[in-house]
Amino acid sequence: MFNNIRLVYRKELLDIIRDRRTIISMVIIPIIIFPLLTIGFSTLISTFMSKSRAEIQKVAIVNEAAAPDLRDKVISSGIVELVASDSVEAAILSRKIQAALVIPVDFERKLEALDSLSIQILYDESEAKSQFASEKLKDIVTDYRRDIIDARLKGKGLEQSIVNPFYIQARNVASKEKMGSFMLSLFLPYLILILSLTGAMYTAMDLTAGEKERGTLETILASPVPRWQLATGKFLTILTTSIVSTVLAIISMTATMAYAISAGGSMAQDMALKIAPSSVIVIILMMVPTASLFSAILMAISLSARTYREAQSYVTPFMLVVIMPALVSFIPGIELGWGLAFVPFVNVSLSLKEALIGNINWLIVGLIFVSTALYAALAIFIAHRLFEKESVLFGN
Amino acid sequence: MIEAQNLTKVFEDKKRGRVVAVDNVSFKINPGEIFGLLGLNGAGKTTTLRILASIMKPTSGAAFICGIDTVKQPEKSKSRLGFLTGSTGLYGRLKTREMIEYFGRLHGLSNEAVSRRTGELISLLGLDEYRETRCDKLSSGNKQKVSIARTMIHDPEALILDEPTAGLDVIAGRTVVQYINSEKARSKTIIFSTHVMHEAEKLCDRIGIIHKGRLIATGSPSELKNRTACRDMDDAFVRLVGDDVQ
Repeated sequence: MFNNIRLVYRKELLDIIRDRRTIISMVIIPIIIFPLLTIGFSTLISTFMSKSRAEIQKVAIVNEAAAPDLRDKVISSGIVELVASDSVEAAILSRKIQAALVIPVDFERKLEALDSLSIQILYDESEAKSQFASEKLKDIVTDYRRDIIDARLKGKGLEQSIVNPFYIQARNVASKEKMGSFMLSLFLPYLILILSLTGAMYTAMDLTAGEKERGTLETILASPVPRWQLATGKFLTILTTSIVSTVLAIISMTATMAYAISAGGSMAQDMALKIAPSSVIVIILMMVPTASLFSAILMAISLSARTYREAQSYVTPFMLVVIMPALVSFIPGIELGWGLAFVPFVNVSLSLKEALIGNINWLIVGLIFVSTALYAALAIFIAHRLFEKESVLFGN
Repeated sequence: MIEAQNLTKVFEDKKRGRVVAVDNVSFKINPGEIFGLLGLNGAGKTTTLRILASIMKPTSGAAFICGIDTVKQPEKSKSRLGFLTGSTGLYGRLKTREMIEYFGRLHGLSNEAVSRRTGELISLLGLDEYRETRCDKLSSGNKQKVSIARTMIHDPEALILDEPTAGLDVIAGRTVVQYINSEKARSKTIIFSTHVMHEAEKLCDRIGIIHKGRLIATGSPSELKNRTACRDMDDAFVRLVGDDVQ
């Protein structure tokens, strides 16, 4: 019995490893996805942002004659360029200028009289460049306001501390290790859920619908191996690719973070990488039944398809169903309680998150392990039953 | 021995409703006999063969391979049978040798027997050159030869060969036909199915014609020709199924 399962398993593994598509989905993607997602993507954004910010945006001042000092400050700032414009709102919307200051006509008089007054900054929130220009204008105006306050205090012979009785300082008491764990707790649960799904996906489709399409299913059904053993061999192959994929992704992610920390920069100042052995145990306890559940569900889904392509169209909606609960680790404030401990995928994501920041409730972890294992057992049972059904195997 | 007893298979089809694919089919084939099962596409031939190979279960009736019930003891009956049809493909990413060996192992042969039988079949079928070639890189003729080797690896007592010469050139076709005849001489029970009537006529001791799920005629090739007053097996076949076709 075990001999047959081992034979089928070894053959399926050999078969799948010889396919370039498997190597891409099982090995290449898990290894590159995290570095690409974090370093690649964030570098791209920050490069783009700093480039846009460094540009000198065009701004206009309405009633600039009413506040010559402010106008001079804008000109001398060097971070924006003052241009003349008639209808500033239209000019902003048509991107001729990026932002504008609107100064009241009686600005100087009201300032003298210590009357309350306001200056408007016009900008277009939907344009990144316009946002940068408005931030710069705000800085310039704030500077100018501080100058006026200083002058007024000096005129009355008063100290700065009159308006600034104290300063506020916030200090992060979390250790570097804790910050590192926090980062891991955001990404790792997501990564484990998604990769144990995508790692199983291709193999599941290839070993079921793909086999139907290539006409090898009937060949193997004619062999004297009981169907449940064939199904078990296939299931174990799918599970293997799922786990390999996930483990590679975890290694790649921690290596990426370790590299980013050792390379210096802001990450090295703020965090250090440390995964407690108890967290590793929780990761294993969560990953194995989750990967089994995905493997069995994907096997059942793609077994029902007649072709590889048909299987893809069945599997894609399932993937979307999983992405939402997988993202739960990124949402702050959701805590793992007894209710959520029974919601598939969400429970796994949350318990991984808690474990990584050092909050392990072994009772809940045990409960999630058992419930996920039960869901997986049910899915395996269904997949095996489908493998016995003629209408599923032969399509009519 | 291969035996079908009142085999009936009913499918529930979404579009067509209840379809009787095989309708009360009975036959018995003895060791040393080649039985030709002929029929048009969709006649119920493939379903009958699948039931005999325990790939499908009959709705009613029973089938036996060497006296073993194909429903009650599917693994045991399959281990005595070699099954080859147009829909039993090869694992493209396995090499010729690996493909044959895999099925040898699934049949429970010892490592020694697996490599000996694989070697014999590879040289018998002239596949030496392609021993280490992946199956998806083989020509259709060589693929068919690998399928035949896969079918024969456990030296089964009963054989179901559906179009075994399809895609083969004349020389390769002859090799296969000679091999089938030699297996017959070794008292194997053989079902041979084909669309090539003169091949069936040359090779088969008896022919059964299946039409719309029913076995409408059985007999030796000369009996069937006499019964229809035809000189040619093609004509005899058309005459037998013809009333319905026209």
